[in-house]
Amino acid sequence: MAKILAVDDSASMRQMVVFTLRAAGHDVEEAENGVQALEKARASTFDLVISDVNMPEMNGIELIRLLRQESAYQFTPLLMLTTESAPEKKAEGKAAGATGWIVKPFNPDQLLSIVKKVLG
Amino acid sequence: MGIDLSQFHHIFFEESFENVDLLEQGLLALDITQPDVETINTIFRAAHSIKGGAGTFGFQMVADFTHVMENLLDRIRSGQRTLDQDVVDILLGSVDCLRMLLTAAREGGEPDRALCVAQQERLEAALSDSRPASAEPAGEGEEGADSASARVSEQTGWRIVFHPHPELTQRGNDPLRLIRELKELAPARVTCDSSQLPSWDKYEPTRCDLIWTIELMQVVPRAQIEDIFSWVEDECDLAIVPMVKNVVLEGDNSSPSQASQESRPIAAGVSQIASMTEENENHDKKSGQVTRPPTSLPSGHTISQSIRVDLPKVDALINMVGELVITQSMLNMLRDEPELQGYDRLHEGLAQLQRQTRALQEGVMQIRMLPISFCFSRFPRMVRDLGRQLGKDIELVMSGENTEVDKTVIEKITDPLVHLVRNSIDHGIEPSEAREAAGKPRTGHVWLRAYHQVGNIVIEVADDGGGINRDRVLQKARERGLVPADGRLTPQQIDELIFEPGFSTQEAVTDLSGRGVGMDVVRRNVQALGGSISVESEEGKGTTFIIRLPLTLAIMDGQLIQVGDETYIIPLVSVVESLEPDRAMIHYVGGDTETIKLRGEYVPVIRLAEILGVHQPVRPALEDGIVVIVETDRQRYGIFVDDLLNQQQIVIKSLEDNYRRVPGISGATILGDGRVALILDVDGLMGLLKEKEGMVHE
Amino acid sequence: MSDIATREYLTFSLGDEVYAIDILRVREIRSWETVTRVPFANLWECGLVNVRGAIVPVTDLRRRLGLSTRPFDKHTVVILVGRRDNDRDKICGLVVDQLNDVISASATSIQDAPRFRSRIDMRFVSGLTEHAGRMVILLNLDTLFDTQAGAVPADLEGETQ
Repeated sequence: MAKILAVDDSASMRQMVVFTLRAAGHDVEEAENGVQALEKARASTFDLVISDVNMPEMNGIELIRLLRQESAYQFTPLLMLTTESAPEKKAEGKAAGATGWIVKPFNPDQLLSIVKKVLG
Repeated sequence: MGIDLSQFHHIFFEESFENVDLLEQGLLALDITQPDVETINTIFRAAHSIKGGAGTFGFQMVADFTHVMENLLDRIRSGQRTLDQDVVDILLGSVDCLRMLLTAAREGGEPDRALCVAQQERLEAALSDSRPASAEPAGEGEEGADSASARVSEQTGWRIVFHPHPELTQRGNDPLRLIRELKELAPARVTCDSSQLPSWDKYEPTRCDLIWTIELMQVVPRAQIEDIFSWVEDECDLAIVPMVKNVVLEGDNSSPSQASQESRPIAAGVSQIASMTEENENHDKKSGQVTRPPTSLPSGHTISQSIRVDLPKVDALINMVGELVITQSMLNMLRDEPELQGYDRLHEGLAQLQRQTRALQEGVMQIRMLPISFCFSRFPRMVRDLGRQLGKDIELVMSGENTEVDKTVIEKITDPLVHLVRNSIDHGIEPSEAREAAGKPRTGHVWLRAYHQVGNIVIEVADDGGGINRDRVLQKARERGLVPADGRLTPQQIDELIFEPGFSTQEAVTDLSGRGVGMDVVRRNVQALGGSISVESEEGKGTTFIIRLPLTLAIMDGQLIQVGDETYIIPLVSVVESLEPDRAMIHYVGGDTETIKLRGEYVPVIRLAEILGVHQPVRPALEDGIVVIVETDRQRYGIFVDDLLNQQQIVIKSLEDNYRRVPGISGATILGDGRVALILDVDGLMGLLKEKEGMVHE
Repeated sequence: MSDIATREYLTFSLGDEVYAIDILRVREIRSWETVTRVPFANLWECGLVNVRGAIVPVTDLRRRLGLSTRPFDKHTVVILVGRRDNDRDKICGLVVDQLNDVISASATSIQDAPRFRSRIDMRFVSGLTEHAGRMVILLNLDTLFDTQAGAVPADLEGETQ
């Protein structure tokens, strides 16, 4: 089972993600924004980070950019949660070093199948 | 290791001629006002594929010529050159030239270099005269490829060439993960080209310098593949190319392993990907053979929809089944033997054998069946060219192209159909002005339809032209002495006159139809195939020719008859009825021509024994024997025979294989007891009678 | 061809005379069986037989050569021979009285057919040789089946009856 960091300022979204992943047996920690996430990520090592894009304090793309620069996260899958209404964010996120994206809305099964894919 | 490339020549030519057809069909299908991207891609791929093969196999002229064509097509595809009628015409001309070059290369003959150079110059002129396209070509479609290509080739899967850029792994993606996902879609064969790896001293473990080729052995929606690569589309070079197999049943030496060689990619779907593929092919060349798929696929993964079979093998099989039919009918005759009565299981077995034999026979005959599109495909081009030549605006509407018919029928019906279609365009459809004056649409229509009808295939050639001018036909027929000056004919009888030998109403012999080949030849050719042709016409509205052909030339239902001690077979399709005439029905016309009056109609009767020289007819008087009424295109008549025997399915054998043509006889078959019986040529017999009467009158 | 070249011939009889054909042309020997008469055939063409599914014409060699006919009996055989016609291989049957041996004949032992008046049409004869003290007439199969090569000369017909 993998150690996953879920980052979202929306509690409901965050809970859905956390609940789903825990139900699948993963060890999940959560963060409300980029700053918090970065602290947690530096404190321990995650196998996967799933982050929302639009967040106060530090947005998801900035978070990914900073994480990618950490040697511990050089090759770690970093996924962003985006909406179809903002396709430009995908490219922006990719440029920052994101592995890929999960398009909102998504259901738990979709989330799990993507997670399963990136974790192999 | 030297590989003899000539072993692939055969397959190269076959595939190239198919590609030439694709090119032509694609060009004809193009709507220049709104060119369909997929059609343009199909055309491009066909040219590209010919060029590649020709270069590889050393047919330099073909390769060079196709290269120029490909350049022009590429400009069109990328929108650097407008697609207009001139370009299409030049490309169509090039298709002809290409066909000529390929034919010369295949037959080792000398190509028409002057023609080739001239055509190449035209292509180059079109290239230098590049006018950018005003608008992006409209239309799209991946799975819904145009029907032209779908008909000739069948997709067997996808070939994906995947070249991750170094940053792909540095963003947390894993090429192996993507490949794993692909393998979940369908069985896949993965090869990896490691030739891009730097030497060990420069090796960076975090970089990915490998190129993978993944061949998916099933057709899955392209979107599913694209989905897998959606995160990394900017971090890799990717080509997703359909793997196709050409579906052709043709006499050649292909073995099953050669058949699987055909499952190889043609070039790509969108231009960006196409250029990618070329890049990858270049990689291949540098690295040797790594990404080149092995020539034979592991059998477990191949989803083979068809195989190529030698035509002689098929025919040998058909012959063998023919033998089986004969053996079966021999056993059937035994059924009535007195000493075999009471063996119920034997009789059940015989009945079962009969059903199974028939099913086997039908199944085997199916192998020789091809869609009539093999014949129809030439017409779009022909109609277009003729229309332009004559300045007529003509639309060809085809239907039933997938109707299947025996290969030999297809080969032999093409010429008559060409004649009919030419005829419709030349004589049928009026000039545009005349059409407008008559309140008809400017554009004339020619319909080519095929369909099945109780054991026959029917092919119709129809037009909405002026119809048959009966006054003129009748006038000509009188001038030529075909009908008496005061003879009264029904409209249908007048229409039938156009099939008379030497009849032509066109005074000014045009370049098109008037080559001394008349409708009588068309009728003869159709009849030689065991078929018939009729015409329906309405003045001012148009003309329809209806051809009925047997589905196969190898088997038919026959009525066995007896005269003297000889057995003959009348094709059941010609038989209207059989009757025992009574004296009151028998009349003599003109002294010695016997006729019977049948429902008010006088039907001439041929005495088979006399006309075929049978030694001892058993029943000399008409009222003692049986008259089989038969019908041909020309007329209805009776054949006087001693007895009717059974009806049975017979295997048609040619007399000419070891002997020669015999007047009044269309072929032979072998009966259940192993004896040879002759099949009557119902039309030819009538001719024999006329000949005989002619001699008598002289 | 060199002098020592020998070829093998299949010999058979028609009445008292011995004839031979190149053995390489022989495909099969069959006993006589009923044939199916063909309308408008030449007099010497007996009819058609079924050879394993193929329709094969049978020629009465006696009639073809203009000899008197006689009823077929238990010795009567049909020799199937191959020939080329318009670039196609065809099979034909020849009815003969009786089959004899296979003989070898060297090229030197074969003489041209003498130019005297014979009972048979000399166009059908390719040469003469000798075997066991008897004259053997070598037949030219190509002219034999050539329907253009004249029918039985009428004046000989009566003579041989």
